[in-house]
Amino acid sequence: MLAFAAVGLVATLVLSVALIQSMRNYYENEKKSELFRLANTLSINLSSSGFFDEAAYGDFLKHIKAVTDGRVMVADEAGTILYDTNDLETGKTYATREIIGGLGGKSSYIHVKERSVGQVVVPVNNADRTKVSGVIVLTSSYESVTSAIARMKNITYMTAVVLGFLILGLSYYFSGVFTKPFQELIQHMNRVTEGHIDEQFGVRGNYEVQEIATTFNHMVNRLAEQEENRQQFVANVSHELKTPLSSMKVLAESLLSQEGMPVELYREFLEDIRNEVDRENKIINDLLVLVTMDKKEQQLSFEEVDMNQLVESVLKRLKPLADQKSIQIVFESFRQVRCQGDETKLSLALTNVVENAIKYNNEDGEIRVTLDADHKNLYITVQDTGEGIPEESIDKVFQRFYRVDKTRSRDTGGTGLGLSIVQKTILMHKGTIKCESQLHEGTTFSIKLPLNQVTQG
Amino acid sequence: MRKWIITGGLLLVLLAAACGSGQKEEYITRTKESPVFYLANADRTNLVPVVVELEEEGVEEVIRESLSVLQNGKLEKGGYPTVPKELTLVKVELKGDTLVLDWPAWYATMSPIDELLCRSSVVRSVTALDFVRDVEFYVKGIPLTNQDGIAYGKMTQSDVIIDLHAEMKETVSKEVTFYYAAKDGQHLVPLQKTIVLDTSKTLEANVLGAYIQADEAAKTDKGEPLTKPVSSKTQLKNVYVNEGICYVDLAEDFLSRPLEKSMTEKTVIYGIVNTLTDLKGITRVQFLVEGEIIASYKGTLPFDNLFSRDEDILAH
Repeated sequence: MLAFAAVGLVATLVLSVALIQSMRNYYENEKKSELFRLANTLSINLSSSGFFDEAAYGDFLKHIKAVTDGRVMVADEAGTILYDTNDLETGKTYATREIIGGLGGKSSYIHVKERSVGQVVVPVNNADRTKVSGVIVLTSSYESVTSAIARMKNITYMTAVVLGFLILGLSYYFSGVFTKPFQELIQHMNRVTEGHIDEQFGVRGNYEVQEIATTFNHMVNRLAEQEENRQQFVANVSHELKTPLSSMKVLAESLLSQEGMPVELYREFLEDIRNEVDRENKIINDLLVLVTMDKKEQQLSFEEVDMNQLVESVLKRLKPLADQKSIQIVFESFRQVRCQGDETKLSLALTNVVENAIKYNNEDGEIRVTLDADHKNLYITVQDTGEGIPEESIDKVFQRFYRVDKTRSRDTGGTGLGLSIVQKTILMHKGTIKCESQLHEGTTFSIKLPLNQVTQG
Repeated sequence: MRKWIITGGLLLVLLAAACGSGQKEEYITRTKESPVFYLANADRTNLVPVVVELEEEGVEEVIRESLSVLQNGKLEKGGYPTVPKELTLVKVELKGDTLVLDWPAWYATMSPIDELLCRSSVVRSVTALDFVRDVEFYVKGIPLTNQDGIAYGKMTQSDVIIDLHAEMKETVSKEVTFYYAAKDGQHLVPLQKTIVLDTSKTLEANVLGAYIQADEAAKTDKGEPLTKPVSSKTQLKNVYVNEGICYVDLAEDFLSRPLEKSMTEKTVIYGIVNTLTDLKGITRVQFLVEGEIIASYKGTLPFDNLFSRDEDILAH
């Protein structure tokens, strides 16, 4: 605050000084021009009239004196003062530098600052300008300029002082005004740190403060949402893990409660138990994958991947599954694409997406996979002709354990974690994945991945 | 002031007796002198002061040595000759404290600037010697005249101006009369004052300025109290004379300022008028305020007319 005030004051003073100096120079130059103009006029007059005759010129010169607040002296070629409007120097000899110069044909100007006086000396030539007959010395007071400048200085310095106090006062006031919202924000941030996560910060202050406050509120909301999601996830995990165990228990109890059941029934029940164990295993494996990916130390091992080959091998592997529903898979590659990535994880991610496209497709449906790239990124799309996803669910498909239709997913053997794993993989490769869908028409997943990974040292 | 050591005093005493009266007693003898001479600068555009060490002792010898310096210059000190070598003096004579120099006919052939440099240099340099007060120039026995045919006559140091700055600083004293108000405030009393003139200003500007700034209170010879009718705070914007009329231009506050003590309007105005009309060349006074003619002063005294001197207002 003090720094601002000091800068403001110094700037004002510097500008004032510069302005005053500039005005002083201007006025002095104007005065100088005026003196030369008058002196030269007189010189030409005297020159054309054959030099000096006091009877004719005495009054004229006194007029000049009255009008310009100036003193006029006329000297002859020997430097003798023939006429002085002050009646003091008549008869004296002037052998000054300026007079000698004037007699040599040179005009001159001096400004005696300590006396606030300016003086010009101009030669007077004879009628045919063949020699110098004498000189004119015109002296004028600069007091009017000096006093005007002095007045201006006083006003300017007073204004600068007043302005200085004003700047100081305003700085003090506004610094309070500006910092108060920040202080309130800091207080609120401390409360959130303490755990009051549900409190919103009242948006007040200037534009930047408002922006910070709004963003902070969003962040807090996100944190609250994430906390809710975490709690939801824990609940979901518990539920998902318990469900197969419950089924197993029911089946086992059924077996134990009945005696003399046929072997085929035992077999059936045991097969069901085995399926539930497989299911539980898959859930746990998927969870492990996700948790591993969540770890900060998890590093992808980047290598050069031939994406065309990867896509082809995934599609080849899943073809039998597609054939079961007579689903046609079409792969369109626009160019040869190579990128830096973790081949295993990318293969797993693509497998999940294509698997979903098969699972949620209709009989005799189609899956179209495209691969393209520009100089920076590669683009994969997986489009199916399945039942589609409702609009309200599209944003949630990547959430853990989220299933559009719970019953259906259970039949197809899904855990609800597949797309979470896919999204996580894509994000770890610094890419993006988008989902677009139309009910009863189909779904398209669009993946964008950078071709090169910047490794952090 | 240089001090002279008295040796060989007889020679100068005789010379002094021969020259007659007017010689100051202390200029009897001297041994060494270091006067300031004025020689030309290198491009002959100016005269420059040069301290000169003179070796000679006798008056005549000193004079000749001085003229020799002016003819040869003091190049090692940046001083160039001002008296041409062709100018061999016909006669040199000290008459009292006036040095008479008789130049040859060649003097008249010099260009105006060379003549100016020569004459100025000689006058200013020689008058720096303590025994010379002024110089007279002759050419072949005839007094040197200016272009109007008027003889220069005796030229003193103050008759030749070398340095403009120094000239501007020069001040001259003059005795003037200020008009103060008597105790009753209705009559004026003349008071003699000596003021210092600023030669860059006119006489009327000097006098009126000094009058305004003079002491508020004064006393007559008999001790009677006097008051200056015009306030020292009065701002004089301009004063000039034209055709015998002195124009006094005052700042606006002159009209609004209250009168001092028991003054009347007439006392104030005629205090100024009488002071100014005492000066040669001023017969009447015209007042202006901020450059304009004002109808009346304080609503009582007509102010737009020319004021002549008023003797009736003087105290008797």
